Amino acid sequence: MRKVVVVLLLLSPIPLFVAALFMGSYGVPAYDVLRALFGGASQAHRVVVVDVRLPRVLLALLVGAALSASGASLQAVCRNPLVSPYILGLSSGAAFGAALSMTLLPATFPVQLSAFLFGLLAVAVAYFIARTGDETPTVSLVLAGVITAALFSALLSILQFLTDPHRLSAVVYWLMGSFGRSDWASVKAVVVPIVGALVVMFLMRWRLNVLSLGGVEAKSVGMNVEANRGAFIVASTLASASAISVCGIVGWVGLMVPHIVRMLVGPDHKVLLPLCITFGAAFMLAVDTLARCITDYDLPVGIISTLAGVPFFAYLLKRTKGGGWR
Amino acid sequence: MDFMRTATCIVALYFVCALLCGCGTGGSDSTSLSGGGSRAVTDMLGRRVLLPQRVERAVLLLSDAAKIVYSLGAWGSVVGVSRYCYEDRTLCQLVPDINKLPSPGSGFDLNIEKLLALRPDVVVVWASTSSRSHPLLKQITERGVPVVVLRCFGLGDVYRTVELLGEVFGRRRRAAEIVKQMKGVVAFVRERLKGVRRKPKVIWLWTQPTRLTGGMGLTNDIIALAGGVNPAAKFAVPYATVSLEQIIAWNPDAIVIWESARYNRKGIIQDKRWRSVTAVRRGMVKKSRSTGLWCPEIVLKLLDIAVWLHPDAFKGVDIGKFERDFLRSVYGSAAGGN
Repeated sequence: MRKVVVVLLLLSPIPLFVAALFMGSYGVPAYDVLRALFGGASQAHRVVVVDVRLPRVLLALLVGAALSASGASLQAVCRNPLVSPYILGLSSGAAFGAALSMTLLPATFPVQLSAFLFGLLAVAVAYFIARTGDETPTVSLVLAGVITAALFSALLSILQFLTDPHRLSAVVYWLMGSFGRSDWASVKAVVVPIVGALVVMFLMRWRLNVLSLGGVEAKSVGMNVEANRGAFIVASTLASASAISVCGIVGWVGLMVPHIVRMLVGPDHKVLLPLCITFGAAFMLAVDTLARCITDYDLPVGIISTLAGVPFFAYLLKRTKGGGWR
Repeated sequence: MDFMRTATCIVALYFVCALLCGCGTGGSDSTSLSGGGSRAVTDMLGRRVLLPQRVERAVLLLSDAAKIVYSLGAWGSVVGVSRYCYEDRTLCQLVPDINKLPSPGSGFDLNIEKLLALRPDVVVVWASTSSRSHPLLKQITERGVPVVVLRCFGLGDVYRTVELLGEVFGRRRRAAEIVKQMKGVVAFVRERLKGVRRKPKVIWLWTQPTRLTGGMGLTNDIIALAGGVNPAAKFAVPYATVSLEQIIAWNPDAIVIWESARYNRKGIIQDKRWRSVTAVRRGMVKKSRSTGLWCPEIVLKLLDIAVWLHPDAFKGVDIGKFERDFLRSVYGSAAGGN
């Protein structure tokens, strides 16, 4: 049974990728979708399939994989089931950066770049606050993340206070997360950092099993805890900051997907992490496809991810009596 | 023991100070209804509001209302404005020293104490819904200050706003003149578009290129009056966020961008994803004229869009002169000649 679940989770992005390419409000016939992908079909159909749908689908896959893998890694590194990729103040920093770009910076300064830079800055601030001597205790790191998030939230509130209410709606929409702005430039901008970070996390995934035992145990088997923990934090931050920069803040995915996968296949990160990457990608794509197809509106993806994920999460939590966390 | 006594004294002193401060500006008599009797007006939420016979100290928490009050010739009665008035281009031109007028904030972030310190005999606010549960209503009226609420969902509501403020400031005749001028522009546009058969599909973009004017509100009215059809009118909301794919499916003939948007015409035209849209292929993309929405100038926005969509229908009309004449007749010589 477990093997079947593993195979299903591993292959889950494939059928969703195909389905998402054929679904949308334009109504491109299935045959034309295939022709458009291979350079045929009318210009309008080609634009819709190749320039609008395909980059959006790819971004949803990348973002889902990035947030889920980062969540799984940080939960293990911090040994805390409540940790998400945003625990170190990343989302607050990125939100402030995006809002700054949308309100005060010149229009030529891209929102994505500003969100990315301020996201990284927030995590760097949290890391340096938490650092004591040669060590960065986990509890200090989480607390420093909370402090940094509060600081950037306050700065964001100042911007919201100063901004014209009409313009504020762009900031609010960004904060809710959406793939509506997807284009090839966004895919090109994030594919290298996200895939690079995922490869690093994938190759080092067995170390998460040791790190999740705690610092003393990890040291006793000869592991350089600080270096390994730092590597996971850098990789997770890079992947999540890249993800946030193109789609805004998508809540819950980075917290929920690792838990769902853990409940289904157990806590071994050698299996857990790759399945978080594939299932996270599939989940995000399913959610975004719903967001753009269930109504004529383009709904913020954060709303659907929460509404769709929470009942399933709650069901699994009840069934596994504790969520598979140990 | 001594410590306890000292602490008790400090706490008691603190509460006395707090009480005294609380009795400052907020406790002053800000209702002017007692002198010279009162009169009633019905605001746009259908509320009956009692006002003094003569409004002498008005606070306007909406910049478009400030423009209307200026056009009514009642600016001398204004003692406070929304902080957004300081950034309004037209208002800064009409009242160069507007920054000297105090501001208690805006409808979104009102400092009630500052408002009461201005001793207003009426406060004009804006409501985004028709509900009477406006957040500011209770807060201000409980302090004995009458509040007139404006609410605009269409061009008819803008006329009603001008008339209502005319009533509030005792300038009914002037308000009627302004409404007549506005209706004159609308009638002129209608007359010119009488013979036009083909109505282009027009979308109006807001803060981001996928946020559009829906089937409610002033800009939806403008599209219709300017001889266009809004494909997003099927959404019974003022604004709707849709997917880019949906916009491509509608294939609009013309695209209007909100004047304060952070993106521009060039950004839309050069974006490959928009290239199959007729409006982009024909270069029919423009930023809207920079004017307020709920003020007399709104009809110039309408004229601007109508001329842009149907240039043939306005051949031989000196649009520049037409606009200058309108602005002078509404705002006087301060409106300038440009």
